[in-house]
Amino acid sequence: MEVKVSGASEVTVYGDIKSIEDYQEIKNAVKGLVSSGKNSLVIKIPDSLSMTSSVIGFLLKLTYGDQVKIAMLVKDERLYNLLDVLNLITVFDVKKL
Amino acid sequence: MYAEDEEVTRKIIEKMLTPLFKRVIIAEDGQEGLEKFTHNAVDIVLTDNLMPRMNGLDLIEEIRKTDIKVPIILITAYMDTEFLIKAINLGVTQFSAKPVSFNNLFRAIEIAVQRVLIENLTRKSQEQELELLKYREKYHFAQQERAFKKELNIIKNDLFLTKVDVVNSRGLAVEWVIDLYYKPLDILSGDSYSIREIQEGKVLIYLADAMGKGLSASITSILSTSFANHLVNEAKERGGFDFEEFIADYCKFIKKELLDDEIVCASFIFIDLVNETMDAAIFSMPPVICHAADNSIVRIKSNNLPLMKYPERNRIDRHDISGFNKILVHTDGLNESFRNVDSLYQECLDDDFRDSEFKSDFSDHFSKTIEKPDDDVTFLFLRRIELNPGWTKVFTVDSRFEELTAVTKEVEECLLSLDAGAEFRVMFINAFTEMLMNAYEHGNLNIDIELKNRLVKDGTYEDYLVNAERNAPKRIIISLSLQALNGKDYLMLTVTDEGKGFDTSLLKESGLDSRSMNGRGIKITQCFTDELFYNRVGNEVTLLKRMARG
Repeated sequence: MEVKVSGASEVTVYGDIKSIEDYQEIKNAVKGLVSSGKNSLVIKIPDSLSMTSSVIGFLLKLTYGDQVKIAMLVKDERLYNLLDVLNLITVFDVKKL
Repeated sequence: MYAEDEEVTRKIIEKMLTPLFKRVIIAEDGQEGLEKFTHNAVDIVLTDNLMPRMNGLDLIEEIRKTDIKVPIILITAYMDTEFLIKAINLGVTQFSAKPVSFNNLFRAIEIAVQRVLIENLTRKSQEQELELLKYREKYHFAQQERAFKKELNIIKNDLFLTKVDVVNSRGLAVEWVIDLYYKPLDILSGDSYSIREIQEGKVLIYLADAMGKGLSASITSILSTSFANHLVNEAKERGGFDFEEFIADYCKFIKKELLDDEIVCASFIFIDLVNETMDAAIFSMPPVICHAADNSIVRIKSNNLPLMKYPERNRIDRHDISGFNKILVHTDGLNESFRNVDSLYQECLDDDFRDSEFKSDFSDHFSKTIEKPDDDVTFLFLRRIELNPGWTKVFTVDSRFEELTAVTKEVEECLLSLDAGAEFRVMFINAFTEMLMNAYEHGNLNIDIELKNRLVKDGTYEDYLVNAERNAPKRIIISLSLQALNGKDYLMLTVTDEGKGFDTSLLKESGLDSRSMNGRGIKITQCFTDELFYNRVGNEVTLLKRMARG
């Protein structure tokens, strides 16, 4: 998995989000943006069919705790369905890529 | 509002209008009339036509640009047809001829007032109705939500996400999991169930389908379930449960509560896994379907009439289940769902059941065949877990973050060596990560949901983990094995921690509130695997996923 920060507030996660290491990598990249004062983020996920609960927990903490607005763009239908099952479509403003 | 440029006429008419209205607004020409109309809530307009700056017709034209409803009475000496048509087209509602006849003007005002009153009343009545509907909808929704919460509290599942493991009378270790599928059409439905563990290895399954649909059926089924659970609780407290006595007490109770023409269909199944027997009292329910090791299907049919007010003897039959590896108990919403106009799901039920190793497979088969069931559907899928590992690998790690990362890589390498497909590996590792983190955080580091939520909110969760690791010299044991179930390869993963375990029933009530952290990892794992269950203590979780190679 690889995380790329592009532009002022856009993060793209390439590959699959599946392990503790993946969570740490995403967290570090996103934290870097938030600590520089960004209060809205676009997270693009063009490849992954999954997402760990630690990533979800971290993003929820940003949304509710730090008032960071998140917009998520996902390509894989299975990931979209997973986020739907977890009732997260609205809170992460998830749209299909 | 009254617009008139001629002072004498204006004063006379104003004097006539004043006692009729709460407020009379006077304008000396059309222009002033338009300004006053714009800045006041005017109910009726009376206007002369010939006025300086803006005449009556122009005033009406301007008013109609913003208000198409207000009644307008045009007081005019003109009776020219062309003029009248133009006035009507502009939206004049009444005419009053000049010189002014008080009676005529009064009648015109009366008609206009009536119109305003009717319109106001209609609007208010519509607004009230809408408000009432909104309130009723909110009220009914809130009522249904509360009732459903109550229903979930009455329904009991002592084996939620928990396996039953015992040593049978032949000295062999036996493991079963019981999974539930419950899809009522309405929030309150005629289907109800309970799964009760009477004592180790002895399980009572109760499935009821009350006559009819919706609220009335729901009252009967919930009443039944509530009383059946009461009997079980009493028996457990006493320390002695007798299935025959339970059936007799239940029937005695429910017969008194039923209406003359009301019936309840129910299956009572008492399974003794030590002696591998199943006692069944089935009251006009679909047969219990059993799958034997030789791939044959055995159907255990109803042995009683439906429960009704009238006395009938209750029959209980005993069956040997030592040769069965799957058992399906269901309501008629499953087998009687229409595949198409002239075919029911029961025609493919046996084949689908035979082909399904777990509830998830069977519910997938059902959902693919039946798009929208026309009745409540409930079934219980009982599965014997036979352990025949073809390949096993065990890992033991300390409760340290870096060790969790390392073991994840080792498990992934194992999957590669087993030639597991790319998508399989992603889903399996995601599920493994969830269970590993649960064993680490909630198991060995003893962090409960409330504490985790608080620490995450404070932003101190990870610092807490680092400190907690130092004080928790506990290990996590991971076992990965290949299991053959009916000729299909499954990858089985067991994660065992050294914590005090947890009560899986807590997950039943968690729902999925996006603000809460509770149960999300287990939900993700369920999405990516075929079966998930805990041991009785709750410190060992097992996952099974059918292998996909290549």
